[in-house]
Amino acid sequence: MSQPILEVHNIKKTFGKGKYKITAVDDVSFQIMPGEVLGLVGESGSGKSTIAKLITHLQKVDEGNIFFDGKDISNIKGKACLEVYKEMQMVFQDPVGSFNPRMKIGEAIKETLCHLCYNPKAMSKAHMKEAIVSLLKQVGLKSEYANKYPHQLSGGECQRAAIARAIAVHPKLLICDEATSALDVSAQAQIIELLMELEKSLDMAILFISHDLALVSCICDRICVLYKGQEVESGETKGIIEAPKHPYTKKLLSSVLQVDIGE
Amino acid sequence: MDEVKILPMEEKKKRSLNFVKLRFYLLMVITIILIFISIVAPYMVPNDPYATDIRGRNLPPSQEFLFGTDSHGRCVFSRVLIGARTSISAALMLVIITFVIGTTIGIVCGYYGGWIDNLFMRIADILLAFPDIILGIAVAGIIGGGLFNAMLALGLTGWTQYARVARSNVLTMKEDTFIQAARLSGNSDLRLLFRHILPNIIGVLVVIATLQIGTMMMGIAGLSFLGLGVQVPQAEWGSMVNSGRSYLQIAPWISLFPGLVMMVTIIIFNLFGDALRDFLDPRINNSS
Ligand SMILES: Nc1ncnc2c1ncn2[C@@H]1O[C@H](COP(=O)(O)OP(=O)(O)O)[C@@H](O)[C@H]1O
Ligand SMILES: [Mg+2]
Repeated sequence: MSQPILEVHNIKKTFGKGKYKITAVDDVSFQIMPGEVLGLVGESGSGKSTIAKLITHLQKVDEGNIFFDGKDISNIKGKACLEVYKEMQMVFQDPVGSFNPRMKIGEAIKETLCHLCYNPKAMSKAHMKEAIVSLLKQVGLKSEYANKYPHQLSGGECQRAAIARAIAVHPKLLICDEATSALDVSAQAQIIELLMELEKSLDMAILFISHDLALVSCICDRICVLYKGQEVESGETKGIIEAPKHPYTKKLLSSVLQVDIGE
Repeated sequence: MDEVKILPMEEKKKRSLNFVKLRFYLLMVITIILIFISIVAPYMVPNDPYATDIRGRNLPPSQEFLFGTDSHGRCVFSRVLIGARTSISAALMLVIITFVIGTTIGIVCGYYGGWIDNLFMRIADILLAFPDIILGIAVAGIIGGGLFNAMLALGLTGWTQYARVARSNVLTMKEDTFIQAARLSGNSDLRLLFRHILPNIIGVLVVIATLQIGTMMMGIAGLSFLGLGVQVPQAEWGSMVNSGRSYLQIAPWISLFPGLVMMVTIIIFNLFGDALRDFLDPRINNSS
């Protein structure tokens, strides 16, 4: 089998000191194969976002190693980060909040294109515009959205724009941190559909982070269950849903069932 | 936005948009006129602002002397005009310099933290432990009088306001999602600071700056009164107000007119600051 696109080895992250010390991520390991969708599930505060930030280098790991595409990226700095961002991107929980309120959508996408994709000096304005429009089209947005500010878009539209920005680099790995949690049910379904479509057409791997086990089990090949910063269970989706081993997973599953019956 | 409003959304937006723009342009024009007047004042004065006349002391306003004359028989109107240059340009320059220095220190401290942050914030703490004017008097006393030294004395504490506000705003903003997203878009630290963070906090700083114009005008005036700022024959609004104090009962115009003009000027700058803040905010003014 081919080499995993992302390999996380025993990473650890603590915040605070002494009495206030919190171990947000405690000895977590998992790997993602190219083109695979891995679900990372856990209740709020279980360290999911912290893991996403550690992988994307928005925060530094205390211990452990992260391998991306075979290279150890646990302690890289500066320029080396840019190289990683050319192949790994992230979509955040808060769609509108993930855009600079003073920047038009088009400008935000252009930033990614200029910094990570093309040499902006070698590219004409018209060509750049074309690239932005085609990205917007790819996520189902009309070209005029390039000239709008984030607050003029709905949550769902904004998340589409965020996905457009992320796929501008043709990433090998896309991290979605609760990318649908802030959206209403119909927008949520549309975004999921879009992500699954892009996953196939762009052949990228997705790390899908969510608190919603039902949702994750629908779309993920494998699942990793997180509880208080620790990995309690991981494996094929089917195995986990049908025969959960850890009591916490069972609890998550039963709460899903209850909600289903309640509806 | 969802409260009881009679106007439909679109129309309301259009109206407030026009108002914000209109107010901004109007006040900008007034401010520019004000600054223009202060620049060309020497060519506009009806009388020599420095010519004393013992027999024409404390004359009430008339055709010849629009604002009357002062205790040395000098034309108050001419002196107010010529004083505009000193007061406005000195205050503006001081505010611009402290704004740039303070903001830069503040965002660098907030963004990088560490020893740089500690160093500058402790210096700011020490400077803020003294009342502004006392520190100004002490400094101007040590390095001597004169307009430049007075400005230096006021500037010494002036930057701390911008630095503190900029720093605390950066501290909260640097955790914002859009900053993380911008980092993933390949922005450098410098671009993150000046292209993403600064435009989002500059509104608050600009409002502080415009309020500071008034404060600085008064600071310069205060030091001038104590003989530590603008030296005597030179005209300056603050010192003119003070020079008329002993004649308030018999010749109120000596203090009244420079004071009135100073007040109007400060109000205009404050209103301009407000308008600028609204104009810069895309949530209020979206020009698409
Ligand atoms: N920057 C931080 N400083 C201190 N504690 C933090 C920080 N980020 C996260 N934490 C703590 O780490 C834990 C995990 O947080 P997070 O990764 O955001 O969880 P999740 O995304 O699963 O809801 C929480 O207890 C949170 O309070
Ligand atoms: Mg989270």
